[in-house]
Amino acid sequence: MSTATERLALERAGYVTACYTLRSWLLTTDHKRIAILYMLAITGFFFIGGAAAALIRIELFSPTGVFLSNDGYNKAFTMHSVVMVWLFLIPSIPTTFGNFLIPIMIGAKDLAFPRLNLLSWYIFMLGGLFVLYALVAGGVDTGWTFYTPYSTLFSNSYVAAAALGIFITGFSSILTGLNFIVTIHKLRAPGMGWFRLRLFVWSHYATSVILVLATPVLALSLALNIAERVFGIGIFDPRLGGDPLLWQHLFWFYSHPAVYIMILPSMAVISELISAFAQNRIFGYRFVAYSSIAIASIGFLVWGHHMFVSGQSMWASITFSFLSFLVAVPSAVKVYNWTATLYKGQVMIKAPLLYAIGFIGLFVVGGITGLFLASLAIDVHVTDTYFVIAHFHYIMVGAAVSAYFGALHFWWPKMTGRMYPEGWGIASALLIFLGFTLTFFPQFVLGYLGMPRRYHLYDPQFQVLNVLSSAGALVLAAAYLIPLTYFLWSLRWGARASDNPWGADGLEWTIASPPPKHNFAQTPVITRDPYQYPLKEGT
Amino acid sequence: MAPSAAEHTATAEQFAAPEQQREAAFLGMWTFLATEIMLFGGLFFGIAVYRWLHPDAVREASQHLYKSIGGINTAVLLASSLAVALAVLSGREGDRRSAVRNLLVGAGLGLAFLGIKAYEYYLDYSEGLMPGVGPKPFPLPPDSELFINAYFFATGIHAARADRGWRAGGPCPTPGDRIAAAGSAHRDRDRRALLALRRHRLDFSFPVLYLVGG
Ligand SMILES: [Cu+2]
Repeated sequence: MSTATERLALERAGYVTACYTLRSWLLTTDHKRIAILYMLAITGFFFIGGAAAALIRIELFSPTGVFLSNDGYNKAFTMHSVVMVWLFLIPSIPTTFGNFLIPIMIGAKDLAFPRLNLLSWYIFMLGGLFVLYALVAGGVDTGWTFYTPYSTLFSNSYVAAAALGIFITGFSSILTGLNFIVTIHKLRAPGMGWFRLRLFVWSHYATSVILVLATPVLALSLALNIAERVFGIGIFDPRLGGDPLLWQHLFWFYSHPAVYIMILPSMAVISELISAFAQNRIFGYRFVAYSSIAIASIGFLVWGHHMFVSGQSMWASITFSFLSFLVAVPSAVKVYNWTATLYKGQVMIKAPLLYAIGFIGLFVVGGITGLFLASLAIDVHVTDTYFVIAHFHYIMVGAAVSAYFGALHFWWPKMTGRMYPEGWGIASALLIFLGFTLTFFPQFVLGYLGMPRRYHLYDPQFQVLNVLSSAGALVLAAAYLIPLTYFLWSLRWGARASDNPWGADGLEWTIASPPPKHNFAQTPVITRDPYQYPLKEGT
Repeated sequence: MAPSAAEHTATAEQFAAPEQQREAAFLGMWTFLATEIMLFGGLFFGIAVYRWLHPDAVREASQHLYKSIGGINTAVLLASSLAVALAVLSGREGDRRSAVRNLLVGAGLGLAFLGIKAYEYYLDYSEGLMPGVGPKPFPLPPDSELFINAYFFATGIHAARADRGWRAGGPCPTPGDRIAAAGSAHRDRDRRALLALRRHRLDFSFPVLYLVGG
C-alpha cells in the first residue's frame, strides 16, 4: 500500500524533484532534463561569445585600437563568431525548448530515442571542449568561414582543433534532427493529425530536415579542410590546380541553410507567443505551416549569394539572386499572418510579447536588407562591409536571440514552476531592443559609407558611428545580464506558477508546472485543432 | 500473431506499442542513411568539379588506379551485403543456424574486403601515389594529385565506416547502433535488418571512383 502511494507521489512529482543526485542528471534520458543540460551549456557559451563581442566593440572605440594586437583582434572576432554560431545559435532553441516541448506538444512521453538524445548532449559538450581548447591554446584567426587556402596552408593558429570541434558538434545536430523527425512522425498522440500540430512543431520539423541534410556536408567539408591542413592531402590547394571556391561552395551549402536552422525555430516560438498574447487563433495556420517547409526547401538553393564577388559565373549569380528573392516570400507570409493575428486579437502586453514584437520589427529590417544584398549590383558595393555585419546581426541577434529570450520568459514558469518578475522582464526587453538598435543600426550606415568588416584599424571619419555602436554594445551586454540575474533569483523567490499562467492554449498548459516525469498521467486524445481562443474552462 | 508478454515488456516506455517502436527504429535508420548520402554526395560533387576542371589529369590519374582490384572488391562487398541480407531473411523464417552462418560469411567477406583494400593501398604506396609518403615522388602531373587525394580520402572514410559496420553492436556502440538497438528491444530479426540497412548504404557508390576516367 505505502509503496503504491509512494510510487504515485513520485509519478506526480515534477521532473526536477523526482531525484536530486548529480548522477541522476548526467545519466538522465528525460527530454526535459536534457533540455536543461543544454540550457546550462549554451548559456555558458553565450557569455563566452558575448565576452569576445565586448572585446571587439571596446577595441573599435578608437580608430587605432585600444589594447589588442592586430592578431589578437582577428582571434577575438573569430572566437566570437565560432562560439556564437555553433555553440549557441545553432543548438539554442531546438535543443532547449524543442527538446522540452515537442514531446509534450504532441502528447508523447519522451522523444523516440531518449538515450540518443543524451548522447547528442555529450557529443555537443565534447565538440564544445575542442573549440574551447583551440581558443585557450592560442586562438584561431580565420573567421568563422575558414576560407581556404588561408585556413589550410597559411594560418598559424589552432584551426584544426576548432574545425574538429565543430565537426564533432555537427553529429550532435544531426542526431537531434533525426530524433525530432522520428518523434514527430511516429509518436503523435491519438487524434493528433499533421494539421492539429502546433506551429512550433511544424517549424521544428522543417529545421530538423535541414539539420539532417545540411550538417553532413559541413562535416565533410571540415574533414577535407583538416585533411589538407594536418596531413597535407591537397584538396583545395591552388598549387595543385585545386579550387578554393570549392571550399566556399561546400561551406555555404551548409552555412546558408544554417541561418534557417537559427531562424525557423525562432519563428516557431514567435507563432506561439503571438497567438497566446493576442488570445487569438493564428491567422492562416496552413500558410504559416507550409511556409516553414518552403523556407527549408528553397533555403538549400541560395548559397551562391555569398559568392557574387568570388568569380562565380554571372549566370549562376543571377540564378542565386532570383532564388534568394524567392525565399523571402514565405518569410513575408509569416510576418503578415502574425500581424493579422495581433490585429484581430485581445492583446496582453507582457515581456514575451515584447520580445515577439521586437522580433518582427528587427526581422523585417534584417530581411529587407538581405534583399539589398541579394541584388547583384548593390551587393558589389556593400560586400564585406559593415552593411553585411549589420544585416546578419539583425537576423541572428535581433531576431533569433530575441526569440530565444521570448521563449525563456514564456515557458520559464512551465519549466521551473516559478514566475519571473514581470516589471523587470518588460524593462529588460525594452533595454535589449534599445541596446541592439544602438549597436547595429549605425553599422548599416558604416557599411554603406564603405567601412570594411574584420578590420582592426579604421579611418577616423568612421569614429562617431563606431563609438555609437560600441556604446550600444555595452548597453546590450548589461541588458542581457539583467534576465540572467532575475531568472536565477526567481528559482528561489519567484511566485509559484500555476499550470497555465498565461491562459494559453496547448497541451503543455494542461499539465503541472513543472511537468511530471512522464508528462501525462494518461496519453491525451486530441479532438480539436490548436489555438482555440477564447479558452473555455476545462479544455 | 499476437505479441507475447515478453515483447510487451521489452517495449520502451515512450512507445505505446511494439509496432510503433519498430517503425520508429526503421524511420530513424533511413534518416541516418540520408545523412550519409549527403556526406558522400558532397565529396562526389567535389570530384565531379575537378573532373570537369582538369579532365585530362583526372583521366590519367584514374588510369593508375587498379580497376580490376576495385571491381573485385566491389563484388566482395556486395556479396557480403547479400550474405547479411540473407541472414536477415533466415532470421525472419526463424532459422537461427543459417542466420548465424550467413552473418559469419558476411563478416568474413567484409574482412576480405579490408584485406584487399590494404593490398591495393600497398601497391599505390609503392608507386608513390600516396599523399606525403612513399618510396618515390608522385609520378603524375600535380593536378592529378587532387583526384588521387580525393580517392584516398573517400576510400579511407569508406573503409573506416565499413569496418565500423562489422563491429556494429560491439562494445562501443555508434549512434547507428543505438537506433538499431531501439528496434531490437522488440525482436532480434529487426535488429539484424536494421544493421543490414546500415551496411548496404554506400556499397554501390564506391565503384564510381574508379570509373570517373571514362
Ligand atoms: Cu546566405
